[in-house]
Amino acid sequence: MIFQRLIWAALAAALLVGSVQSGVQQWQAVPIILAAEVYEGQKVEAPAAPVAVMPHAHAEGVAPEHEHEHGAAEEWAPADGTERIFWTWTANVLHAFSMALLVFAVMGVCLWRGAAAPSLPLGLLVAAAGWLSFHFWPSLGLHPEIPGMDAARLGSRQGWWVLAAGSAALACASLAGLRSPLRWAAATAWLALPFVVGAPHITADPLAGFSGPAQAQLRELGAQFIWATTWVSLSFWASMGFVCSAAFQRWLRPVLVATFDGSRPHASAARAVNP
Amino acid sequence: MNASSVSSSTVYPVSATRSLLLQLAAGAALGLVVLYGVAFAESPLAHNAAHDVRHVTVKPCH
Repeated sequence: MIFQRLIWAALAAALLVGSVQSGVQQWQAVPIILAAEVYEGQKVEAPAAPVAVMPHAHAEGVAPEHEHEHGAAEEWAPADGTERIFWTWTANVLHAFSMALLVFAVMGVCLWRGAAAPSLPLGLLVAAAGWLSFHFWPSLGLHPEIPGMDAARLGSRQGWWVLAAGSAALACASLAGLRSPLRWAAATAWLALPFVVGAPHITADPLAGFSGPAQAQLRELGAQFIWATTWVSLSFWASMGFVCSAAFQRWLRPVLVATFDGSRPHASAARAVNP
Repeated sequence: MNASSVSSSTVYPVSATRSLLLQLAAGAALGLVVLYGVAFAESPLAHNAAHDVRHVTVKPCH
């Protein structure tokens, strides 16, 4: 069983990468989010009823398109400060855990397909593909957003995000896995697909609900946020590449190579003897 | 039990390889489930807890 090792290795990598990521975020991105949320509170929602003071008013009044109010009484949300930082850290570790599992799986498949590269270049290459697929390609169509911006329906944006990430991942897989010269054409076609479909956008100004000065401030914050997310994602995938390479080399590669080489499957024999 | 698993992996290394690949695939599937929970689940609890991470990792959020 390599599954258990896989989980522990991913957890170890996630704790490290997720913690680093939390630090970079607190420094680069969270101040922008908090600044935008100050304005989010001043947003004028269409001709909606006045802000509900009575606990049930918003349930019966105009149903908001998206029920996202940080202060909404009924829904739990972490309090600003330590609690919010703790939950952000938790989410970062889980996010890193999910990505580490994918990175290990791809590295393992590369070994199976006969990749002879040492773990470090292999891990960095897989991390680069991860950055392209999970950050860069989806972000080209759906720009990073600060809180308060209006956008197309959530479900359609999520669907497009999955399409963009999946297409970019298939493009990388085509380049790495196909031997035919047509692989470049296949990769280009996959990369183009989400943009042929087109990312969902609204026609109105995403900041229409704000007054003039607030709009200007939010535009500035939005531009800063695009750069902040770029640095955060680059540091995330770079640390993911280094940490996953080390973990893969230490815990996973020996078992995989022993089995894939096929000559002596001593890993499974040893396990059978030693439960 | 032990004898059978030893002999099967000795005689059919292909099945040991297949088992490893399946386990890698199971790990990847678990990764996608966790990613869904952190980045996409619509439950307000999941959304609020992971809110800042969703914004920073450029997932569609509210």
